[in-house]
Amino acid sequence: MEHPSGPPMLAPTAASPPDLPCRSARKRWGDLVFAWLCRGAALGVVALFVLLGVFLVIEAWPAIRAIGWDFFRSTEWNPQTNQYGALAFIFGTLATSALALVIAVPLGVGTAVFLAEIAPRWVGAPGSFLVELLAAIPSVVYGFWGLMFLAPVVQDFFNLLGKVIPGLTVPNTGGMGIFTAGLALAVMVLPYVAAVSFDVCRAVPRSQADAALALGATRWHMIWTVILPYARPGIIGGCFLALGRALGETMAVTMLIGNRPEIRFSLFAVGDSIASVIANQLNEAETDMQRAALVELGLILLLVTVAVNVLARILIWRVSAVRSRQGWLDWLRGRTRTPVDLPAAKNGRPPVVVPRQPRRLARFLDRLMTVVLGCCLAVSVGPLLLILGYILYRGVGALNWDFFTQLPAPAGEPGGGLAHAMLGSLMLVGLATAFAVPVAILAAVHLAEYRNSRLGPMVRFINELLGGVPSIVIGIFAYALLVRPLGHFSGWAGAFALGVMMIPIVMRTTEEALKLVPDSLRNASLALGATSWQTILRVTLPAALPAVLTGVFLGISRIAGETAPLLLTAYNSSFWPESPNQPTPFLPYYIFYYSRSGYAEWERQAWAAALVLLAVVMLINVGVRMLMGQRVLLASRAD
Amino acid sequence: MTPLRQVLTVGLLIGTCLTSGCGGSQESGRPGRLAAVRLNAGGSTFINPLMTKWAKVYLEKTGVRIDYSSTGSGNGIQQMINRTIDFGCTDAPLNEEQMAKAAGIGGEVMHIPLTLGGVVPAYNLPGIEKPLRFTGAILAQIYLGKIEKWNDPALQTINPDLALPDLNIAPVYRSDGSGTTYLFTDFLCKVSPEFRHTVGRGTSVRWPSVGIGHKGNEGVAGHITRTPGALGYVELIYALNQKLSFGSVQNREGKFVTASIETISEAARSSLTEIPDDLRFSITDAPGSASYPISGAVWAVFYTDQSRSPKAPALVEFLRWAIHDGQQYCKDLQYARLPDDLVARADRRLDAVKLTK
Repeated sequence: MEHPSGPPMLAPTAASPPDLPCRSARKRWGDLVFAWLCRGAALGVVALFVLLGVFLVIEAWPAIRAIGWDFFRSTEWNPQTNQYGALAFIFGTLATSALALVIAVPLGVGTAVFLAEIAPRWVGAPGSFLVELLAAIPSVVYGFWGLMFLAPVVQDFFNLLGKVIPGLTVPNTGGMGIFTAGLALAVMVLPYVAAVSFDVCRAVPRSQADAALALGATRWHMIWTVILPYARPGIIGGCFLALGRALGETMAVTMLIGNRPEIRFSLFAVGDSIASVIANQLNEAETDMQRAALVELGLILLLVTVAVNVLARILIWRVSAVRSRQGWLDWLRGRTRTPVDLPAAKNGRPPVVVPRQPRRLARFLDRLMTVVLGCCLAVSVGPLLLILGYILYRGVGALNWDFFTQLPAPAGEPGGGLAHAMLGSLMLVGLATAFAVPVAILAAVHLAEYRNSRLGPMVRFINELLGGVPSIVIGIFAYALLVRPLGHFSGWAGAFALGVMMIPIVMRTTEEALKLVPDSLRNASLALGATSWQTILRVTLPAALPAVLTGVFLGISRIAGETAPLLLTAYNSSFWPESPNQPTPFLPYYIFYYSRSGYAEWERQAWAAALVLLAVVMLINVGVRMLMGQRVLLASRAD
Repeated sequence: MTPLRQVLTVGLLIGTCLTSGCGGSQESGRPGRLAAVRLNAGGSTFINPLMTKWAKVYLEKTGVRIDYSSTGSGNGIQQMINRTIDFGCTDAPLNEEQMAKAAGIGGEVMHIPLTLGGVVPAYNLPGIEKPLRFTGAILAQIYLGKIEKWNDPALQTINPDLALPDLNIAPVYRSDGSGTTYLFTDFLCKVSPEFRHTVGRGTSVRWPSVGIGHKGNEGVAGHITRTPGALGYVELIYALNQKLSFGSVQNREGKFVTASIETISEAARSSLTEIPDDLRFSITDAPGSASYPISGAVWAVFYTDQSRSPKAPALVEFLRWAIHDGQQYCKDLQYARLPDDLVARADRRLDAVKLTK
């Protein structure tokens, strides 16, 4: 199968290890088994994705057959009369996503350009780190922050509007609605826009920018006429990636959108989104038709996000073929490529030759835009500081020994803790890791070490798609596969869902890491008589281990705060997790549950839980950077 | 290099063991851990605290383990119909469609009431200290969007001694399927024909274009505490625990009654003559001057024909214990007791369970 968007094979040094003449049958068998193991894992990833689609179609089939195209024409969603129309949910999903992009794209691109072209090192490095942290905050924490901080502010703003503009009736929704949900989504997708834009800006050939500067362009002129046009397809691709994320976002949206399925074009409109209604109703669907209709909504979400992701990948690959993949990873590792040190770039004022614009105007524009782009960075990082500060401020006071050791106290009683949920989260993440890591590493070995395989491009592509599937859809998949047939919620199902989410991350980083291992190592091992499976297990993988661990930790930090799929699978429980065969408690659930309760003691604990979760995620992210430093060291030693 | 290699190998080994372990134990279930009977049950979240208490006491008393998962009434019914659990618990009796589906799989379904509960209109009105009074008609008008202000003449008339503010009412309802919604809409349907026509009763209904939705009692309660002017419906237990302000509701006899475990039990007692033999009853808008009008029961539901199940005697034994001795644990947890006459009728229904072929 020819890969449609065709990322050119990354072949940094050499082709795959040569097929050595086998010295003994035993060795050949070992190689064969290992090769098939890896191929099996790679095929397993493809099978997972196919199964996901198939299961959704099977579960949704009664609704597809009974409702047909009316599903897309009606806004009526009424389980009592068995009428199911998706239009209102589709509208809510599109409206919030569009609003988010309108806000996030200019800000994100501005931030990226500032970081890539203007910022001095001492701003650039922490700046990019902070923006990256925005991507690491779990959705439920955004929702919590939106509920406690953003929504009241929005309602106050609306009330103010109502006072200023006569005749305007302002509904009292506590700030809930499409506008607030869109705002929160904007903050959430901003890092995606910024990260990809940053990469593609970096990928613009330096010579082009230097040429512009040499011809007397101001820095802003250079950015506007050279960098941005060159990077445009990539930036658009980044926007599509962000769109994919926004469309499938569940927790923050369901906490803020108001959950009323209707189509209304107003600043104050309340709505509902596809992901939100699934999270709300799937567990308690009364009739088979309602469940099928909800799964059909999930299917729509899957198809749309897959289409959006395919478009995004094509655009990104077009602009910077090989470099974008490496660049993304470089950026993740916190290494910035050293810019070419031009005297002009250093003092910020290029040697002016013949400016078309009056010089003073050009210079003024240059300064103005520098300030504007700098403001973009400030506005992007602002919410992060707001969120972190607010959570730290509210959370620290609620931390105590009981919080880490006790079961929850009944409502109305002080004290108690969330020890069982922390243990449950640990169990779920541990099981998910145990399931995902071997599969992902073996599949990555297949991609990186058996490069002649015709499966490779397809597996890589499917893996990218799997990474873009909204978590709620993966939740439905696990629900249909493990909860419904077994008749009860279980930790297994939750761990499976988390594992499926983790595979793409681990697989991508492992493949990249394996490709960075110098071929001289492989050749040396093979020349000494090792078989290829011995070479891979004892030489190549250990050399890449720190980077592989990085991927694992990135994956863990991604799934540790995941809530939506677990609502449909692990379900929660108020007791110690005894076995994964039972409903299992998890920490993000309590942030979701307690934060909305309006009960002071529970809210306090929700802040504490958010703080603990954030601390873990941040520690992992900082730890990963340190590990990566070690990787560089190791690779150089190996060479 | 050596430690790295070991880490990797051990990691891979553990990974493979664990993943293969998953498959194994999933298929084999949990054999031999408990030789005694274990009843699998699930459904209503409302009864979960009481069921947890019952399970604990009953295990100590008899060694029978009740494994209850509070997955929601709708889910409990589904699982019961598909025989994945031994009995389900639900806040709303099975509707005709569900009865028909069950009839095709395992025959007639028996309903045994276990306890009673109520739903209260809770609100956030700064400065109003005394509890408000509501009528069903007014609540229906609010949820239909016909009454928009707290100082609407209709509300002011029945609350003459309160200075109601000129504030928009912000109605809030449950966005998830819920027995609480069922009770509330069941009551509104009985007192307001307009509500019956435009909204209807059910665990999740199509609300008119007013108000906003939240998941769970805690979501509704939280929204009320955060939003001045909000009005929502929550379970009595929740309102008491959260110390929410909630109003009294006018009952069929025209009296304004505040919800409590006594007034809820009273609603069941005074409706006894109206309760059908299969015990699929509704006690909203009950007769009797002391009855709280938004009251309801939680039922255990299971197939009447239990001849296929070896656990059936234990099931009947447990339910009999729950409606007799078990009732003493209701009060501490703010559940309303079943009236004695209703217990007697439930006993007779339990006698009719078919244990042998």
